[in-house]
Amino acid sequence: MIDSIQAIASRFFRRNKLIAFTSIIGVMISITLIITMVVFVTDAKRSLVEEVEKMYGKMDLAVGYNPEQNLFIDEKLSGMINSLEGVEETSEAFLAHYFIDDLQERFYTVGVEDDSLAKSRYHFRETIHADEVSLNNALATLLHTTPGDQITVEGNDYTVKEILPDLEEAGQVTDILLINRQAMAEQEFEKTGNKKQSDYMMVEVSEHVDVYELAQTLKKIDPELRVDIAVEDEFLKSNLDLQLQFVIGLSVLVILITALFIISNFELFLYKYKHELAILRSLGATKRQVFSIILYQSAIINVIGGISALLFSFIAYRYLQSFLGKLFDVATDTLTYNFPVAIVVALISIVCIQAFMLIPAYRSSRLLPVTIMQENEELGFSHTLIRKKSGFIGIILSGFLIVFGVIFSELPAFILVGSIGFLLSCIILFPLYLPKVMEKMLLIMRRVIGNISFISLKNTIPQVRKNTFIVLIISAMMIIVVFGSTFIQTIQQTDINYIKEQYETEIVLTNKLTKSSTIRADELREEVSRLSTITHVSTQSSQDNGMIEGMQENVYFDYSFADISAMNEQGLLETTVNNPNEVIVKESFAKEHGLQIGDTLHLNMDYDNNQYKFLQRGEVVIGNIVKAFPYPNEIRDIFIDWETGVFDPDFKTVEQAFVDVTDPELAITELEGIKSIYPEIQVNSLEKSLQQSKQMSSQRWVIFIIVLVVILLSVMFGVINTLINNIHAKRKEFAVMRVVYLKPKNIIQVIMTQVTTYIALGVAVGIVLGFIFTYLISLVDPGILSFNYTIIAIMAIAIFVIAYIVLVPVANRLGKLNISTELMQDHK
Amino acid sequence: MSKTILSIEDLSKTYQTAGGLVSALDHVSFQLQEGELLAVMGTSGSGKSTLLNLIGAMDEPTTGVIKVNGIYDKTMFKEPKATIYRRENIGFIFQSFNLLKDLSVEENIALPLILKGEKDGVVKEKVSKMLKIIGLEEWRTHRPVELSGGQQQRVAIGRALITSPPIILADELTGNLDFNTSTDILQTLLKMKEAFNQSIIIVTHDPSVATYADRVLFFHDGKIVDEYTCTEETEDMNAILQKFQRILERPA
Repeated sequence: MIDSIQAIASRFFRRNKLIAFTSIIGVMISITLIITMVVFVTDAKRSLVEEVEKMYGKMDLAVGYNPEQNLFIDEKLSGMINSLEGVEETSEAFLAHYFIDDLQERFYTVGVEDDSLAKSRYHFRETIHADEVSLNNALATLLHTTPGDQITVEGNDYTVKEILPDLEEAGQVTDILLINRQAMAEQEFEKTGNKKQSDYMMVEVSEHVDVYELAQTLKKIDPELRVDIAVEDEFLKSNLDLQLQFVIGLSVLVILITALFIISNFELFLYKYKHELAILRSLGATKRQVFSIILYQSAIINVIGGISALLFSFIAYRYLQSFLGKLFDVATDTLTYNFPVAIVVALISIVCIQAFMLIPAYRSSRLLPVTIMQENEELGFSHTLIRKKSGFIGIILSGFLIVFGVIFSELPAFILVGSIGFLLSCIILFPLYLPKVMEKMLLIMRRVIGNISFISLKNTIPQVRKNTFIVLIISAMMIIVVFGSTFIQTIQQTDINYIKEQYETEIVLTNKLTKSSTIRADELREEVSRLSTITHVSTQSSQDNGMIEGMQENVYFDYSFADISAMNEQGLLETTVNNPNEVIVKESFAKEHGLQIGDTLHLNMDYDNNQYKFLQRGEVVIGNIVKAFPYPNEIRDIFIDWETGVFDPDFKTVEQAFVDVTDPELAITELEGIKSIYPEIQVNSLEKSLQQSKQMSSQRWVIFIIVLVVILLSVMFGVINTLINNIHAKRKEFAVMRVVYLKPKNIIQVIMTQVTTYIALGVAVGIVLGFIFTYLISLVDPGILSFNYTIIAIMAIAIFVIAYIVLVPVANRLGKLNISTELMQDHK
Repeated sequence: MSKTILSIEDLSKTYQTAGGLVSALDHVSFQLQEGELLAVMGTSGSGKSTLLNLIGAMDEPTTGVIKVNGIYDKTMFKEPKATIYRRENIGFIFQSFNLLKDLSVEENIALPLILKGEKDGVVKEKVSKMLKIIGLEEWRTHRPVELSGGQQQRVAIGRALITSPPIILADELTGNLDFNTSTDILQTLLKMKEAFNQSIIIVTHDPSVATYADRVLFFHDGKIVDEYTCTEETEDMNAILQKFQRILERPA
């Protein structure tokens, strides 16, 4: 026999296995989602640290001066930095662009010490002596060198010591030459007469020392010192920030759903026990006793749910992730499950959820004894006026915040807060106006849906409060779907657009050595055209600066040599010229200087830096004016044909070749072959770049889809649970309807009409609010939004399908139950 | 001379509704003696349930005084005093039994003792005695759904009386039962009243139930409009019927 309040609580719990089980599952799903989010964020941070280490090695800080400052680190400054507390190790280096004689081009050159800090930063293993250099793979390929070969740098001969792996930064390989620091210091002294110690110092910070504090101390030594913190690398940070923003945005919405889900599920639990608790109160149970009964039960639900979440999330990470990865054909192996973080998150979540559960528990403890309990369910909303006022005030305030944020673009936080405020205000107002909307809908729909559905819908209107949860939670999920998918799709689309913008044709060849290369445009064109897969090819030179004489004042312009007619055939230029001596001018430049077709221009080109004058002069006629040139359009004003007889274009070399092909894959293989003739040529394929971009965004998609699947399951679990309970509570009504008029199959119609209405409302409201919310958030960084209608549609359909699969059999069963028994039962 | 256990003095209760103030109880005064069974009859909305709610401290009167054993505490309607007051003075019997479906017969009866914090041994002993009195010893481990309506009401009576409260409030306690079962329940109640010398207020529509009472108060529009003291004679039934008939004929 029971003998205590806890025993009563535990009896309630055990007698209601289904509700207890569903509540535990609810808590489990919620905590799993939160764990997933946090583990992902910490994993992303860990990745950042790894990326930073990959890029910067052990270096925490870089201290030095910018080249334009004309300052350098001398012995005194070096000593001061070394003696600072918290400095574990330093390594000094020179930075310069040295001329590689064999390539007739300057390359990024670093004079390094032979220490572990420099080795980890620049990824070399072998000691570099005074007459040795190490260089990266791409540069070595360009030079056709291997270790042991000789190369000439700044007129001095060096032996190649080591070939270093190429390091990509923002998708670009930076060519680098490493020289012995001492040797470089001597060269610098010879050139400038300055006894430089170094240009910059790599600093490794002792453990438990705040990098930021040390950076501040360094700035105090000399305010002009430039101090860069490795973990603040702009590219890595912006990439991670984007991911973090996405995860944080998603987490907020997930927590919102989670809170709704947990409270509603527990409310359902309490709703079932409302009567029992009121009886206890009339038998002399104090508020405290009722509260402790609820507290005890919620604690059991919570703890079991939390432990299950830990196990479930671990299993999900371990197996579900790779399953989804295989399903969507993307790489997912970068995420690892961090157990300590998961445990901490689970504990915090349990405490928070317990706090959430205290709200309904406290409300239950205030239940009045049974005799004066309101028999009629509270159908309307309390504090309607306050809700209305706060909703409208919220919308107005949010509107102001958004407008402020847009006007003063340095205040994106205003837009963010305004958008969230707008969303919450709509959520407050929406249930209040839902019955009115439904009434209006009914009048219109009566003829379409027939009388039975009409009566069914009419019955749902007074029940709105009870079913608001269903509409809201579905809406919240659809908001997540719209917001999340649009966010990822937009990033992906922007990325794709940027790539496509760079690719005027399927394949673009670029010249890595535009200053020293001697590739002739006609030769390259001929070589490329000879390949079987090539249909068209055109080239353009690098941009250069010239001057137009004879106008009111001398006008400087940017130009390139190009295959004008070939470009026109390829559709890269909207028009062409009648003869090669004519030039094409960009519309914006023509407008700015009042130029028209047929005008003659006196051009000065090929500027000599030693003689301080243009070496070539000539007259050309404007053959045509075009809106845009091929990429990069913005930096050129005039196109001159390679074949022009007016100038000798040999002082410029090819920068880009636009190639149309029949089979991109085969074409790439063929084009790689011409690298033996032109090693400085790089083959870029649109398809390849798009694939790389797709690969990068696929991880975001996988995480998002995992979140969506879990949310969909948890939301549908909550929705169906609530719907089944609401349907069961109305069993007597259905029995009465059957007595009066309806056949069993009509009961299915009645139930499913109500179910469909609530789900449809949730989906519709969610999609609309999702679009608005996404648009408002996008005001932070205006751009064209790209909506993923497929995912939105799939999720909407999935909600209906899951609901129908579960609820049609339930409705079918209810329609067949014995009427007299049903009329006798109390289904609360 | 018997002792006054409950004294109601000038008790009124008004409610604010959308249509204005509604008077549910209008300056009602009466006394309940120790061991007395008082029946309260009246039409729907006459104020019977409001009276029980006020005596049970589940609602606060607008004006008036409720004295139990001659003591009036005007803070008795506020929590937690109201709960303590109910625990010590009042036992409730409901028309719909209001048993906890998840607990067994003996656990339902034991509930008030458990809530009061009685020791396990005391609880067991008192529950066993009560089961014997209400005749449900063999059903002690059964759950309410396995019992008949009459048996369920007997459990409810046992539960109301287990803490020996001086006042029992019974709201239509036979409303859901047939004639024979009703008779059985009322006999049980009388037997227990004799055994524990408790005072009982029964709210009922049924004149045959009222004949079991020592006295009948007739309510109409929140006021006591008539009274009848039963004589244990056969004319009681007719007299109560006639008085009740007159109330029904009054304009609302």
